Formats: sequence, C-alpha cells, structure tokens
Amino acid sequence: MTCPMCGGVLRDHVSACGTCPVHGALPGDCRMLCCDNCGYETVAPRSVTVDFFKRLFRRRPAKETSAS
Amino acid sequence: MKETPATAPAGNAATNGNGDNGNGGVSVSERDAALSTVARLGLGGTSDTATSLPRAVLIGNPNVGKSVLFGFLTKRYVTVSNYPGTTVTVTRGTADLNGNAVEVLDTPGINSLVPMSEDEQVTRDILLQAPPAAILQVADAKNLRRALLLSSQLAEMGLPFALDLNMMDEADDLGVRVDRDLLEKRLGVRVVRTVATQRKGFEEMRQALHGQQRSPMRVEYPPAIESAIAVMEPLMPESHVAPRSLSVMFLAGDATLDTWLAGRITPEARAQIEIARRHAAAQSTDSLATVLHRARLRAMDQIVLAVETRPATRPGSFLEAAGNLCMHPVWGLPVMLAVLYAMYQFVGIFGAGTLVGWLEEGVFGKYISPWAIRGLEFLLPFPHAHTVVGGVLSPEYTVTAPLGMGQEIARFVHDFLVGPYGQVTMALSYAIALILPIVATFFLAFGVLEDSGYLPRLAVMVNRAFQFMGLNGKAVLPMVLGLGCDTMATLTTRILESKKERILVTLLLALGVPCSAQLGVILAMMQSLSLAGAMVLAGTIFGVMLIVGWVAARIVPGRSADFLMELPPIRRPQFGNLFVKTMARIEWYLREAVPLFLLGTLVLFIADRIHLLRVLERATAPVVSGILGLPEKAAQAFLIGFLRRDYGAAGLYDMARDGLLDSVQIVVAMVTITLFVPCVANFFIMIKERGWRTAVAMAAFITPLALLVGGGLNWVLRALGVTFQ
Repeated sequence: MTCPMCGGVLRDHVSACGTCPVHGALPGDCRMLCCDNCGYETVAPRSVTVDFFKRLFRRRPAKETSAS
Repeated sequence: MKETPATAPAGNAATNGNGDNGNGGVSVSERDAALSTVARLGLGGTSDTATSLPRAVLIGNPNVGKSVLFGFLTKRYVTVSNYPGTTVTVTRGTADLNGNAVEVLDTPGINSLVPMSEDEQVTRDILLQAPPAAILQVADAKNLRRALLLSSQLAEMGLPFALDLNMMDEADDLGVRVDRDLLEKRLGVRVVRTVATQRKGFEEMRQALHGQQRSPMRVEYPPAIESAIAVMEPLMPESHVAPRSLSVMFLAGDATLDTWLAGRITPEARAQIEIARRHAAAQSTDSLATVLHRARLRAMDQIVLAVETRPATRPGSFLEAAGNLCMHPVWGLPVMLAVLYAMYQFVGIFGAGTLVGWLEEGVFGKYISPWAIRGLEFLLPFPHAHTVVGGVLSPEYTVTAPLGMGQEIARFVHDFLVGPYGQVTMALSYAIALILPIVATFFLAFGVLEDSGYLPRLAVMVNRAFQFMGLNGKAVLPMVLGLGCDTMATLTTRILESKKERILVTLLLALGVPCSAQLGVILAMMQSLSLAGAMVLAGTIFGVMLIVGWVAARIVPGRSADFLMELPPIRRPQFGNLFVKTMARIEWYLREAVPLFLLGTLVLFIADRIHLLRVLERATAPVVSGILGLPEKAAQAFLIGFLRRDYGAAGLYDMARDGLLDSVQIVVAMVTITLFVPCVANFFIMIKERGWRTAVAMAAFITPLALLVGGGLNWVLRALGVTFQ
C-alpha cells in the first residue's frame, strides 16, 4: 500500500514498528499502518464487517461426487 | 566536478583514500576513549565485539527496498534493536557471502550524511566510527538524482561502496532508462540493477559486496568553501573517513560532529577550524549548508543528465497538470476552497442533515428509543408518563404517583438506560445517530483526499502559512493528521526534527485543530449559518492559531527544518479501496468513541442524580452565560468536552437543533469548544510526549485563551448587532 502523503510504502508491522510512535505509545495490538519515510499513519484497509460479509457470501466449492 | 584517479581497493581501514593527513596531536588511545556509544556497544567497525564478524552496511534513501534486500541476504537470525540512546531502529542479521559469515546492518532510510535527524545521525555514526567491510547503497532507479546526492557523500567520505539501482521494473514502466555502464564509469564504483520485489538481480547484488572500490568522484565547491576546506583538512584527525568529508560536514553545520572531534583534536586545532568556518560563512549571503547542497546538486545533475533518459511526455499528464494546479500560488487557493466546499456539502449537508435526520428521528426516534422505553416499562414498571414530541416518545417524563422503594429502583434503572442522560437515549443516540453519520461521511471524504494525492499538495499550500508560525516541512504533516485524530497526530510530532517544532505543533494541535468527529459537527452546525457566519468561525480559529503560532515561534528557542516532501502522483481513487478503508475507520471510531460516550453519559447521569450538574452549571454560569453569552446548559458540553471534544460539540449541536442557540451563540460556542482544552486522551499523550510540566502549561494557557476568545467574539458580535441567519 502506498503512503498518501509521500508515495512511500506503507507496511503492516514490518517497516517501522520499532520507531513508530503509535506502536511505542499504545499498548496492545496496533492496527495502524505507518510510513517509514514521512511518518503518516492510516488505518489498515481491513474491515471486520467487510470480511464477515465476504465470508458469508463466499461461494463454497461444490462437493465432489464419486462417479460410481 | 572533476574526477581524481581511482584509489585503493576496499579493506584498508587505516587510510582514508585522500591521503594521510591526520593531525591534532591527540594519541590513538585518547581518541579511542572518546568513542561514542556506537563503538562501545558494538555497532561499529569492520567487526565488533558482539559478533566478531566483518560488517556489511546497507544504506539508502527511505523506501528504496533496503529491507527486502536485507531479508534476502540474511534469511533469518535477525535482531531488531534501538540504536543506543535513540528511538532509531537498527536491524542486524548474518549473511553467508561465498562461505564467509558477514554481519549485515540495515540502517534507517536517510537523505543525507550531514545529519538533520536522529535517523541520519545514526547512519552517519555507523560509517564514521569504523570502516565497514562493504557498503551497499540501495537506490530507487526512478529517482537517481536523490540517490546520487548520497553517493557523492559516500565518495567524499572516501569509503568503498557499490550502488544498487533497485525498482528497475517501476523505472522501466515510467520509461526511465539509466545507462549503467556510463554511470559506473562516472562514479568509479560497481553499479548493479535489482527488482527486489521479484528477486531479480540478487546474485549480482551479492557479488557487488566483494571487491568494492572508492569512488574518485569529487564535488567542487565555490572558492570560499574550497579555501576553508584547504585550511581545515590538515587539522582533521587521522581516520578512515576522508578529511575533506569531515571538513564539509563541519562547514554544513553538523553540530553532532563536534562530539566526535572533541577527543581527537586539540582545542587549538578546533579553534582554527571554527575560524575557517566563520570566514567562509562571512563570504556568503546564504547559509553554508545551502551553498554546499547547491554545489552538490549541480554536480549530480550533470551526471543524471549524462546517464539518464526520461520520456518527454508521460502518460497521465492531465492528472499531473491537475496536481500542479492544486499547488499553484494563485489557483491553489480556489481549488482548496472548492475542495472544502465539496466536503461541506457532503459531510455538513448530506451526512449531518440527511443521514443524521434519518437515523436520529427515524431509526432511534421512532424505533430504538421507544422500544427501549416500552421494554423497560414492561420489565420494571412505575407510574410515569413520557412526553411526546411530534409523535415521538421523548426520554423526558413526569411521575404520576408516589413511588415505593421497589419503584424507585425501577426508576433508577429506567433513568440509567433511557432517561434524559440514559445510555440508550443519550450515549448511543449521540454516538450512533448523531456522530456516526457525520464521521462516516467525513472518513469517506478524507479517504478520497488521501487516495487522490491531494493531501500532500494541501500540505504544500498550507506550508506557506505555516512558515509565518515558525513551522516548516514535516510540521505540516501532524497538523493534517490532526484532522483525523489529534491524539495520533500528537504522537506523530516525534518525526519532527527540532524540539521547537515538536512543542509548537503539540500546542497548535491541542489549541485549534479539530478532530474528524468535531470537524464533522462543526460542518453540520454551519448549516444554520450564513456564509459570513462560517467565515467568522473559520477566520477566528485560523487567526488565533496564526497569532499564537507566531508568538510561540518567537518565544520557544530552536530552529525549524526545511520542507522536503516527495509528491506522489495524483490518482483516481478506487471505490473498493475507499469503501474498505472507510469501514475500517468506522470500526476504529466505534471501538474508540462508543465506550467513552457511555462513560461520559454515566458521569453526567451521576452528576445529575447527586444534583452536581446543576451546581456546576450555576458555578460556571458567570463564564458560560456572562462571558460567552450561552445558556447555562452549555456548561455540560464544555465539561464533557474534556472527555471527548466531539461529545461536547455534539451536545452543543443538539442544543442548536432544539433552538436553544441563536446564530451568534452557535459561532461563539463552536469557536470556544474548538479552542478549548484537548480531550483527555490527547492530554495524556501530551504528558507522555512533552512531559507533564509542558502539558499542564499548555492546558493552563489554552483554557483561559479559549474562553477569552469566545467571550471577546461574543462581545464584538453583539456590539455590532450582527446575525448569521
């Protein structure tokens, strides 16, 4: 994902966790994405609601039937 | 620029590549004693006490793919630790190079080896303390000019290195071609090409770590600077780093070098160096750092011109023109106003009008609140009658008969859940029906600004105004982020390079930057105002911030950094991405805000039950009514605004919709609550980041200032007899 401020790469728990101010200040699981370059923070584009509906409406693979 | 004959191959740690000219009369043992924490803690040298392995260092500009290359080289056994005495992370791992174990260091992304930030100092210190066995400079092939500025400094230091042009695929896509052979010839070092994400060119890159050479490239500076360098070079200590480079760092104002020099040269030599620096500075109207950078840039531009070709016209030039328009000194302003107006229409009119009306009067007013009230009446009955307003059941009620003990308990539970300060009728109604539609529309609009690439251009526009407040560069970023959440933005002030900027931005964030929810409420309340009212509201807040910033910039000592921002291209936002991001932000808001809305309502409920609320309203009446000219009930909004500013603003919004505030009172109330004390989360982060003394001092300054400005505005508007209907 690209940083909307500087065009850098936003990485989830990879790029700057050790230096990220949010990671260092807030206890628990950090849900933010941070730009290593300029410091911009944004939410990770992952929605529990969207994931729930995706799972709900996901096509289940058809059961294999034996040819006998 | 001229090129000197090629120098010795890598591995000779004792010489510096530009001849031996160490001086200063300080013994090696004394110099060793002055080594910084870097060497003491085993972070410098061809090998170190921690691993006893030769060291390869990856350096480069931010976001050029160093970490991916590092991952390839080290595979595993990676340790990530803060650099001693800093918050900067240095990642270390072990690599197998042709059967030899080598320790690989992934340094923070930097733009210069003349440090302006902790990141840059850490990287520079690693190179300064002891010569690495190999240095690989990783570069973005699309941005050769930026990379070569760093290459020229490595060359100047006299350190052997190789250059890796990474992201070749992206450069190809853009039609950027780099003549690798010619670049190798001009630099005098090996140049390799990689696509880190596709693992292309990795073997060649691995080979480039062997047999590295020093670059003979030399940047020629103006005569005054060259004269100063000539004086300084012989005075510099013996080191693996070329004295010319040390001289240039010193001339550029690298204060951190002083510590390194302190134990290595005599005070007399240090004094002579300072005299030479002052002499050079006196001969230039610009700062020496600017003159040096300009000369370096000019030299690198010559190389770029020779080795790089770019297509004359690039695809998407319409979007590029639109992007440039957004930053135009004249046309940028109408574009900014148009963007703000579009946001007002979407958030203020559609979100706060249509959606709030549907949710509050429809969903909550007709269904959720009445069902909750009727449900409780069924479960815990007591004699009472609710008021019906416009056919909708209100939380207000009157008791119709004396109550027994059991009925009193039933009434308490009823009030706690569905009374005037009930968890359902107030907390959830405010959080879900009133604020959620506003923040949801705001998040969507903000997502469009993010994904379109407008935000950095807005930062460029705002930067001009910020210079007035002694703020440059990165300071714009937390201020823009503050429009999302002031608490997060206060944390981000850590990226600012000077303490002065960190203090100023923290103060301005707490003072006048409304968070997303509060901004949404402000936009919603603007509905009932005329254009003049909206302009007075915005003008007052901006005016106060400008004045406070201007004064604070002159009181708080320190310097401001330059503005360096690489602008991403203007893009068309993708709907799918926008939708998911908005949903993610809404979920974040619900997790963050709803518990505090419940807590705030509980505080109001208890304060009401013990009659404290009325006492507080009366106690604050001289200020709220006397100075601000607002109804006494508005005190509740200011009290609860400390818990969450948007909650306070929502209370005022509710009062405005109930017709309890006229247009002047709306403007005064919005100005005051915006400038009012930061919310509790922001206040705690202010204490954490700036210390409790500074945080308390800021709150103690902001609170009376907000009341003073609100009171003054009320007095002026009443005296002029204006209305904003």
